[in-house]
Amino acid sequence: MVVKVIDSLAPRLRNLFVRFNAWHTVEEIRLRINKPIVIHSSLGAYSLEQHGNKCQVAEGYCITEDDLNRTIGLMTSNSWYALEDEIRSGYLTLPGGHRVGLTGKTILDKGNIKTLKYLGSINIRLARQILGAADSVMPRILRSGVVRSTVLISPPGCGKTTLLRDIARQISNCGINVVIIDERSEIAACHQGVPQLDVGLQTDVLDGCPKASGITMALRGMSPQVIITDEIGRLEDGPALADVMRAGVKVITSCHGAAITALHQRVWLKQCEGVFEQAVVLSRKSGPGTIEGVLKLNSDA
Amino acid sequence: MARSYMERPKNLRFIQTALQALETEIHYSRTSLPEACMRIAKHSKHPINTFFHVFGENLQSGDGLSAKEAWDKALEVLRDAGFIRDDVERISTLGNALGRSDAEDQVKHLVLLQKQLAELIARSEEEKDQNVLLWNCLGFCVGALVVILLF
Repeated sequence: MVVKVIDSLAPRLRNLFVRFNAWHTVEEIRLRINKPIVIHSSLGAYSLEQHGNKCQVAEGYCITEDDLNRTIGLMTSNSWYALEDEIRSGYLTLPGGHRVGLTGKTILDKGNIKTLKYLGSINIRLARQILGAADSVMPRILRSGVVRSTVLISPPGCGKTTLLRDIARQISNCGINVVIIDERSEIAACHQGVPQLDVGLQTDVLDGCPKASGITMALRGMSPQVIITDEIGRLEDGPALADVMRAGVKVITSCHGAAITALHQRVWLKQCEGVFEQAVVLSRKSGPGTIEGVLKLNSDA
Repeated sequence: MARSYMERPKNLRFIQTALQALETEIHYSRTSLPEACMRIAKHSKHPINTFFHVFGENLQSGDGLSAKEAWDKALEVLRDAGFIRDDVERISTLGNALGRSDAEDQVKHLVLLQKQLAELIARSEEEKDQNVLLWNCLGFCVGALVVILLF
């Protein structure tokens, strides 16, 4: 898994990682032109100097424009045009499910983003499967064979996607049909349609599919008992979730926010009131995936 | 000598056909460059098949070569196959653009090079007609001279 990330780095950057042995702690690698390489890990942020030794961020190896361009070239197989939609959305997915966020000069066409030019920085987020990540929350979600519709709330980097993936795996392995609408290819990390991570024995994945359309497709064709999707929050998501509820299908999803109060302000939620039976609030207090609390929502819905 | 004049328009035409195939791969199926090159290599004639095969391999080498570097490296194949400098230089210009923009822009660059190649083909055909005749005549005359001298 990690080997593939190194393969996507420019040769000069690959050399920095030759003796690197702390991959299991790495969460993100950030590359910015003329700035030091920054590695975010569960132990904090640090950098690597030119010989690959750990050092303070300010003393790290500075990324050149050439380093960044070659890295992007490797990540896109030098075929920018083949990934137009992903680039427009600001990210790429590497084999293995690692996600690469991109920033640079945006080129607009009639007010819409056409493409990105002159990339300035990228952020490689390592996808990591933690089997059993959902153990502590599972008793709340699956009770005597019945799944409860749940929304996971947390700020970025608290393990929402990891948790969703493991919830999918555990529910599915209990004999329940699960469909994952994986808009950003993060949950199942599909490569050419086949999940690269374990999402369970009875799970189907709609990869790269917009959530609202995906929900409709799944309801029509796959007769799921549970739909799992990530980072809900667009206006059109609300009505789609309401459809799920009308079909009697359970839904488990995640949403950005620091606390339950954030949820009450969401417009999409008003359109699908009663869909969720509970909300799980996550934080990083004791590492990613710390459960702050479980709140009942519309318990009689 | 006459043969090289005959080969030039033929080879340029092969390159033109291959570029047309690349245009289709990019425009309709958004096939990545390495994959498209390998497909084109399978369906092209010598030396174009080797050229696209080498270009595709350069892209997949994992050495972090840019498309431009991979293209320029592959152009050696055409030089070795007897392509003249002007033609190689014209073809090399595409390397700057390949893979670096959206499909619409890629198609524009590919169409432009195909048009430029069409001009080169027309010119090389004219040269061929003039020179092949000249060299064939010359060959005949030299042969006749040898015969006369011998007898």
